[in-house]
Amino acid sequence: MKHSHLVLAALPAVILLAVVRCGTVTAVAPLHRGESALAASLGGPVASVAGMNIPMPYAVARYRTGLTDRAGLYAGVHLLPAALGVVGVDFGFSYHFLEQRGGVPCVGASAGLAAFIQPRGEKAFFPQLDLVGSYRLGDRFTTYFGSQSMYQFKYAPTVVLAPFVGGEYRLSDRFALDLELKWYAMTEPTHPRNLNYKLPIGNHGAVGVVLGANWSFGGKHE
Amino acid sequence: MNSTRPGPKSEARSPKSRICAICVICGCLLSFSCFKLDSFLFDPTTVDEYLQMSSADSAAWHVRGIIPDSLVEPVTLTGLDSNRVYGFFVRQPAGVDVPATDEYTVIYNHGNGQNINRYWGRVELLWEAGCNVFIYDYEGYGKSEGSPSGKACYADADAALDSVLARPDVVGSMVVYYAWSLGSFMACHLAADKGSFKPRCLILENPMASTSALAQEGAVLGIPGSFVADADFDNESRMRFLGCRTLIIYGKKDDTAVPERNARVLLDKGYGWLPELIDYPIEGANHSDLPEVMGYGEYERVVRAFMADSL
Repeated sequence: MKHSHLVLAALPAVILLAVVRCGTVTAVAPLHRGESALAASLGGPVASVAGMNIPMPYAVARYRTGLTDRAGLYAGVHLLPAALGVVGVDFGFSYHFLEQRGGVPCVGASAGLAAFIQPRGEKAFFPQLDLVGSYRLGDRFTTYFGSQSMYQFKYAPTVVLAPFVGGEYRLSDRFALDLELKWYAMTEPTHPRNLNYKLPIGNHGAVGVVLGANWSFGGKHE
Repeated sequence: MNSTRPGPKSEARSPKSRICAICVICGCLLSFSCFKLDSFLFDPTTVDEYLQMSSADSAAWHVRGIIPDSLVEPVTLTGLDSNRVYGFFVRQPAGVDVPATDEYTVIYNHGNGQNINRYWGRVELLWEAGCNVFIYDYEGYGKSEGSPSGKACYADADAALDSVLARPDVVGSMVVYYAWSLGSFMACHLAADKGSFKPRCLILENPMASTSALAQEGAVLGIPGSFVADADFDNESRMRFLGCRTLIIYGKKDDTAVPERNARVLLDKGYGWLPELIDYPIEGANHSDLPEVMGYGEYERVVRAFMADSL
């Protein structure tokens, strides 16, 4: 059997389910109390699909709301798993414990759970934790960095890390675009594997690109 | 950061309606959600006539043309939904003197690519080792009607077993299941799910563990196989129910069914449950070149010895 004939010509689609981590970072900066935001993102690790090296088109839509000026809740839906009959959601809590002051970045964390549920079928749950630091540079641009992680307990206990750097450009006071570079699954060997990931670093993980858009509304907005 | 950015104060809007809108969108997506990846598990090619390979294909597939036509019998089976499924029974020449193995009949469950032609070189090796060999094409492969699916492949394997056991020239207690790669799902199904008949032994060459293992390998985290495929391809859960001596032979360099996530997973699942379970890694072999790396003589010796319980 030729390698190219393998089953796993199709596994690019599988990755759409649980690539680590999917979507842009959950909360770069805190929302104000009562403020809400909708975010959409598209992208993933670069892999060979039909002969082309492209970022996996993983799509996530997220809603965030500020409970206080530091704390918030988020909930997201993962759109592509729906094409496989799987409900993919994530939800959690975010808290920003440092504000930007001089060289000290704004620092926050998000903790939550990603759940993939097949109606009348199996389920998979992955706790997730994000750490993010950010610097506001001028009126419109924010750069950020950090690491996302997902945890698996059901099979072999696994922690999958995805460090990232990104930039957010504010087109208006309510609307911003994000571009994020992420090193997916940095501790996992890239080859041998039945999915042909491109852009590994030292045969570990795969670098990917995620585009995002954020629209905030409501609440106090200075 | 939101805490420092400028901008006018906006009216608060109820997020409820937006959440509802998101739910509606997801509902719409789910309503179209019948897409599964099963079709990608199979890579068949069709033929008008079997065993009419070009010289290039014969060379690529290591077909030597050593089996006389008189020993090759075409067989037609009935698969799922009454589809016709094609196979060949290759028998030993009468009077051949191959002690201890001359009555063995191997049911050969081939891999996911091409059709019987591609595996004819493997049939020759087993025949050369002194076995009768029955090979069949899954539905949608070669001349077999229908299209491949988990259910269809299992039905085809069932029909193959029934056909072999119904032959007067086959000794039931000497039937051996052999599988390469994807065929391991069919061989393990026969061994584990057909409780009324147990083979003499089972040989799995570069087997696959499960669709879950395939999904996990691609996605890194544990994704149930049922998320991506309807086929009940789960050798991991069947290992303890095989009920027969089993040899797992695999290339240590297999980059298709990577041993750590397939062969060795099956070994771990089977230890302690089977009468005998042999781990037989081959240094330097990949997914498709195991007999070539071992050398045909050594490959045939190992297979023959395992069948004779003297490995």
